[in-house]
Amino acid sequence: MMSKQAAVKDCVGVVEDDAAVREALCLMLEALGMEVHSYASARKFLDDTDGRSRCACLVLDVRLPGMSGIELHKQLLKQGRVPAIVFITGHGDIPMAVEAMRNGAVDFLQKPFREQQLLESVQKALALERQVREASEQRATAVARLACLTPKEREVLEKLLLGLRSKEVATEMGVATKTVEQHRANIMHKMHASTIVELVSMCNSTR
Amino acid sequence: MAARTQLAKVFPATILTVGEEPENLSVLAALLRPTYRVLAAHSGTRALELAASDPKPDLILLDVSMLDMDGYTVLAHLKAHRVTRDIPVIFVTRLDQDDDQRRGLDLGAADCITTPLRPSILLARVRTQIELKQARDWMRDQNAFLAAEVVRRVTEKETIDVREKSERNLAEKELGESEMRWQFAVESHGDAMWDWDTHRDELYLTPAAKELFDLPDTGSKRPIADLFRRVLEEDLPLVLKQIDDITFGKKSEWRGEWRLSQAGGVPRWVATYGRVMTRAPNGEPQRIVSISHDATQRKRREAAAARQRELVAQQGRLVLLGELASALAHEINQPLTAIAGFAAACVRRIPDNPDALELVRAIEEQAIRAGEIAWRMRGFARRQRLDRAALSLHEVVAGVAKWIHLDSAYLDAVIDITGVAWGLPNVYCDRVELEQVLFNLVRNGIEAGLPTVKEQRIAITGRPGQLPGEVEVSVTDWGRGLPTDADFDAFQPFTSSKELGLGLGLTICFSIIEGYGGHLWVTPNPQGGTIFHFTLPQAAPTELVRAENAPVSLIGAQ
Repeated sequence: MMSKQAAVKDCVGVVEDDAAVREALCLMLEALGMEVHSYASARKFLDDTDGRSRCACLVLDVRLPGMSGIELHKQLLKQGRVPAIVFITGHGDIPMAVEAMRNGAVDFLQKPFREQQLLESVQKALALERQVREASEQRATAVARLACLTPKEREVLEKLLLGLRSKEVATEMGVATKTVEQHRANIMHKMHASTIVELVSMCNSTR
Repeated sequence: MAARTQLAKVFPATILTVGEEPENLSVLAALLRPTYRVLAAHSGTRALELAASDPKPDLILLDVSMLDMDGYTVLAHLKAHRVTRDIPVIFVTRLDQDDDQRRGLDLGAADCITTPLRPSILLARVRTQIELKQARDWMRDQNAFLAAEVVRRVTEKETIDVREKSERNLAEKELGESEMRWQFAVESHGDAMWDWDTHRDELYLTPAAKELFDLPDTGSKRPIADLFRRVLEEDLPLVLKQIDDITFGKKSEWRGEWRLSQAGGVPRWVATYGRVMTRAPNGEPQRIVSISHDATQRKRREAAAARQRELVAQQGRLVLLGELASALAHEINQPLTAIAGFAAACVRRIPDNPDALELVRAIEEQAIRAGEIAWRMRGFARRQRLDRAALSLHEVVAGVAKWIHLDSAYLDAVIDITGVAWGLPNVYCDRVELEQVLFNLVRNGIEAGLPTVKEQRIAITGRPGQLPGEVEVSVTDWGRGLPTDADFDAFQPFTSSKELGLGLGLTICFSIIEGYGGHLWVTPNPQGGTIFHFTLPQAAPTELVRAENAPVSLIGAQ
């Protein structure tokens, strides 16, 4: 069951201290067509800066020797970018699950679980992660494109975003309507927008 | 009172007069001598010597003004020494010296008399003090006195037995006097005491005993059966056995606790001590004396403590079971997860063999099912009713310190709870769970004790926690300490430093404390041994300790 959208394999991190469980998780996820990085402890995960930055999803055991899964999650939240997390637990403490979900975990699975459950949770996590990634990419693109505008074009854009027509903009700026039309065409071109609606939503995403 | 006069004749009281002015002393001596033995001291030093030597005075008349030490100093010395402390002192002072009187009384003088002396008042006050003193002495030396009385009485009886018939009248008269004396001794006694003449089956009871056994004052003598009738039917065999044991010479005394039936009420407990005072030449007891007291309150406190302890033990078993199931579930769920995972992974490798595929799928399903069973077991054992309330730490700790001693294995342990002040903020949790934690930690501490030390010492201390809204409790032992190797984690299930330890005690404590958002950790005791610390949430200041939840106060029971 290959992931349809991605030519590049989805990358999943597994943090689990029990070697057999870790191996089984890797086998299952790999069989689902994912690239898997596995770690025996939270510390090992944190130390692998290269590998962990590539993980879009993290399958994380709650009880780990040393730093627990919950603590690792909190630490990642402090650092900023957090992969989508699926907790797995052999204890399933309810308050712990509630807290984890509140902190943004995608799912909380009780061991043992069916392959199907794991797959669903991981795919939910990946989808979420993808959305987040796409949104942030869009934003980055929009910001980069905005940076290409001249000061005059920016002024025109701001007025357009307020909902003014070209004529009104021209009156406000004290220039010919034709000039405004020209600026507007340049803006649409530079921003890769085909309609004004598209332009507005792109600009909104940068806020 | 006739009996009293009799006593006074047998033992004339001794009075010590202390003063420097010979004329005063001679007046006193002249007044007292017809009734009492009078000793005179002319200096404070001599007075202290005489007061401490036998026969000790029953009363001291002390003149305030003396050369070598004043009356106050003498009085202070008398009161400071065990031997002379109980001798009453009457201060003799001049009429116009109000300060002297007050100061004397403050220092412990029994009374004050002013000079010039008025004979009738002096004699009356002296008599009062002597009588009080004798009554006090008599109470204090009850056993010795009783034994002496009994021996004397028996001797008198035997004397009578050998007398000629012609002397019988006289003998009977003497017996009558002795009888009267004895009766007085028994009746004026403050404790619940009975005395049974087995030959005549005559039972004497003190007023307190009549009250305790609920035998109304219909006469001074009664058959022993009256007493037995008051005993609760179930306990009667025990009572009779105790009486039998001493009757047939196996023992000469008994200690026991019996219940008395109460009309329309809960039976009353009495603790009794009794012994054979005299035996006939054939070994049969002639006289049995017993002292009893009401033990109902103590029994009730003990029962309350035992009930609470049983509750904790029961809860403990439940929690233990829960923890066992939980630990087991966790340990078993790991391999089950691996099995299910391997099976799932296997499915992708044998797509062309439907039979094998089906079997591998079945393996996955069964692994999941085993996991569900483990979870259900855990859920079942975990189900327990928690009753969170604001609790006084001092009270809970005192209770636990008490029951530790109910277990004979921990009798020698010394639990120091002085470090848990009354003023600490209340903690907010389930009483039984808190007791559970304390009980486990204290018991661990005792069991960690070095074999060379007989009395294991455990100290419990409490203080406000480092975070606001927390209370921190420490349980310190001076035992052998925890293993130092890095792999040893005392809080992991199935980890124990004890040979026969299950290794769940601390895991349970850990779960309970974590359940309240607190922490449980361990540090080595710098003096050798271990200190366990835990924190619990404070009760909000408005949460008052619910009095109805508190068990009968366990402090000062017994």
